[in-house]
Amino acid sequence: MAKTKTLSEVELDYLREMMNIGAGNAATALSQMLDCRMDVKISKVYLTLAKKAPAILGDRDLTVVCVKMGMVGDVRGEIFFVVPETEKALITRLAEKANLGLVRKGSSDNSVLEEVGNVIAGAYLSAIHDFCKLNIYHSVPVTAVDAFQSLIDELLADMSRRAEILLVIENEFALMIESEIITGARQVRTLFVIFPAPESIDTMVDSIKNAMTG
Amino acid sequence: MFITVGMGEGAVAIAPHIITAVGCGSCVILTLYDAKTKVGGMAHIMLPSRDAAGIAPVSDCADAFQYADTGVHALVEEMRRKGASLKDTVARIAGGAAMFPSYAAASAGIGKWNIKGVRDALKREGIPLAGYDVGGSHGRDVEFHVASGRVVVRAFGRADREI
Repeated sequence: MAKTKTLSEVELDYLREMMNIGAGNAATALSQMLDCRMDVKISKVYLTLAKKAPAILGDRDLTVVCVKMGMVGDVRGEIFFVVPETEKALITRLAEKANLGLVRKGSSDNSVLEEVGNVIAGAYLSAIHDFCKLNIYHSVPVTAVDAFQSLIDELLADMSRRAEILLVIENEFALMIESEIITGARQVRTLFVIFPAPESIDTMVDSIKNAMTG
Repeated sequence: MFITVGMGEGAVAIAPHIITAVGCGSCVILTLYDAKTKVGGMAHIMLPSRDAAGIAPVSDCADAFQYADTGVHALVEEMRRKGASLKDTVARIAGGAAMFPSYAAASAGIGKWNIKGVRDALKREGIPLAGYDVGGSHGRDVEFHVASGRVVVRAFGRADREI
């Protein structure tokens, strides 16, 4: 009754190439938006159990800015764009320089990172669309700042509840795209995490497999 | 010495153990303590009830600690097995936050229901609530020193708080 879907190393490599196209588009969009040269490089793509996602981020106590977006369409679920809180100032400063009007007074404002997350989500999901023929749309971002584990526990609880009802999958998983935003000499490590809803996992994994063979 | 309780898990220990849970957002961390026998237990509860998950209640199954309605009872039973006396046992709870603004707007989030679920179950078991640090929109780490019964709650950007 239970089964676990996975991707092979080769398939993950293929996915990484796919996401590289998205990263190129994200870099162009960010460079224009922030009016400076930005590069986005994919360093690694992981397919991991959802509950192990915080371990990939590394330091459990690391405080992160987490931009959360819903995913609707052929694949449902949630997306988290994760940036260490220490890097927030750099990106906010760039936006101030570009005079975007996105920066409001007060250090608790996360509008700039929401916009960056929005751009990256758009670019990555377009790449998935182009290769896998999946229409996925993301919803308006919301942001919170805390430890990653605390930020995703509600999602994990919800997934385990729905997975149990369906009884078709053994494990919920997360697709994690680790990328670096590079501007000048600075590199900002970011994580883009796709948590497909339990009922969407098969669709997503099968489409990636088909895109490669097809 | 240190026992870490992950999501949906529970543990009972005696002094000098320290039971911890990290990265708790909407989950509720329940601690039970019998100061006389110095037996302490912790459960990392994820959801208010097994019913809400569409499954009939069974208290002795492997994932009992995931749910408030079965988890509280399972922890009480485990405490009793380790020699605790129910009439001397008190409870403390932490967690139940709404981490993102959208969850708070839609249905007040699962955190609120987790708190209610644990409180109701404690009432059913007849265990008094001695301390709590719940709600808000921040994550928590909990450290339970079984030797002294101290329960310390840590949160990002806040001073440690003993409940």
